[in-house]
Amino acid sequence: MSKFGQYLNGLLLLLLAGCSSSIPREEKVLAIKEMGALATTQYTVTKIVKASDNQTWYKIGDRKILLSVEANLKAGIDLTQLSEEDITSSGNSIQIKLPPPKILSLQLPPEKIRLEYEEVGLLRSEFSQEERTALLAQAEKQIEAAIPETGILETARSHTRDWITRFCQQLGYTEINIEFADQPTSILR
Amino acid sequence: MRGIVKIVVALVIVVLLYSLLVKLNWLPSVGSWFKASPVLIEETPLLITEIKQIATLFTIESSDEVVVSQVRPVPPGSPKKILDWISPLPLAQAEQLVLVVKGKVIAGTDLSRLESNAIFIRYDSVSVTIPAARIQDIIVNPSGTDVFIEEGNWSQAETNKLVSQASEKLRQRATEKGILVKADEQALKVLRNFLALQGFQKIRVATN
Repeated sequence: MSKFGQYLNGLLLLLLAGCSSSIPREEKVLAIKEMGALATTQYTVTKIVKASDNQTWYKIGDRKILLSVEANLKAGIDLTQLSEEDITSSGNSIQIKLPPPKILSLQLPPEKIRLEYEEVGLLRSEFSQEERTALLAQAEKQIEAAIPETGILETARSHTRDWITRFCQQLGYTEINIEFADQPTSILR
Repeated sequence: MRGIVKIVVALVIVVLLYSLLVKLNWLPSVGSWFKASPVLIEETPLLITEIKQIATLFTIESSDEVVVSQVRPVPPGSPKKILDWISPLPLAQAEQLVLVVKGKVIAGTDLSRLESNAIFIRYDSVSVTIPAARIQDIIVNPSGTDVFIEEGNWSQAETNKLVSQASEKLRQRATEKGILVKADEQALKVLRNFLALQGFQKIRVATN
């Protein structure tokens, strides 16, 4: 009887272990990175994510989905790239050669993702969250690829020049010459 | 008998030939016949809705990964509820959604709030007082979101709410790791270097 009890306990333990959640409990910090980027421009863009699931031959019926997303893009310059050769000052005049502007962040706020329309065939199931997330990840890639066409880097160039000029004026400079390393056309202010 | 042998030989030849063509990638494999085609999104244009001039010094970026989950009762009328009525054994009447979210927390200083009296200059000495660092952005994007467990149908709004919880968790964890103190230190370092490059000899940079 005691042996039977031991077996029963063992079986119960096994069942309990089998029922326990497999959700990873521990989370870890991946990295902390120091930086020195001056963000000067923010663009807000919207996009419609359009997909039809009708390409698999053995699935009967279509599924269509329309989602709308908003993305925040920030652009600016990396101030840590500045070196002694990039800044020349004498008296009240200063010349600064800034690094080229670049995209600093791309963010798709979750609260701005909306399901606009979904059509599901009788023999098909709704788009799962996993499938929707995969579609949204594709949209994120498309947004990233279309960034140069938005003209954000050109706007960032202008905004950066404005801010650096104002900052140098506050430092007492009256003659300020700012150019970008990739576009050495100087503008005298 | 000879006829059967002929058919078997012909079949073997066909199979071998097909295998060879699959190996050469000239024909799709049998497995791929039943592989679902990936759902691809169409190319749609971007609409620019706002352009804003900002002046934020990003100084610390913390990358992290968090797990968020939500459990809810099985909605009435769902297949699981119907199965429960039929089944002799009681079935679990809860559904859960578990997400593993990778994100970035960016801390920095808002230099647009730099007032004119924050800068003081005398000969080759400069003193700049900048605002304290704050969390500027929490980036959680779909490419970093992994749906680990999904039971039942979850609406987009429910998932968005869960991702927002992940953002808040990322913020808390980054703050606990002292990201704001580090961001302040880095802002002072970056600005001090920038001013030193301009030829200032005595530099004082402080936070409010």
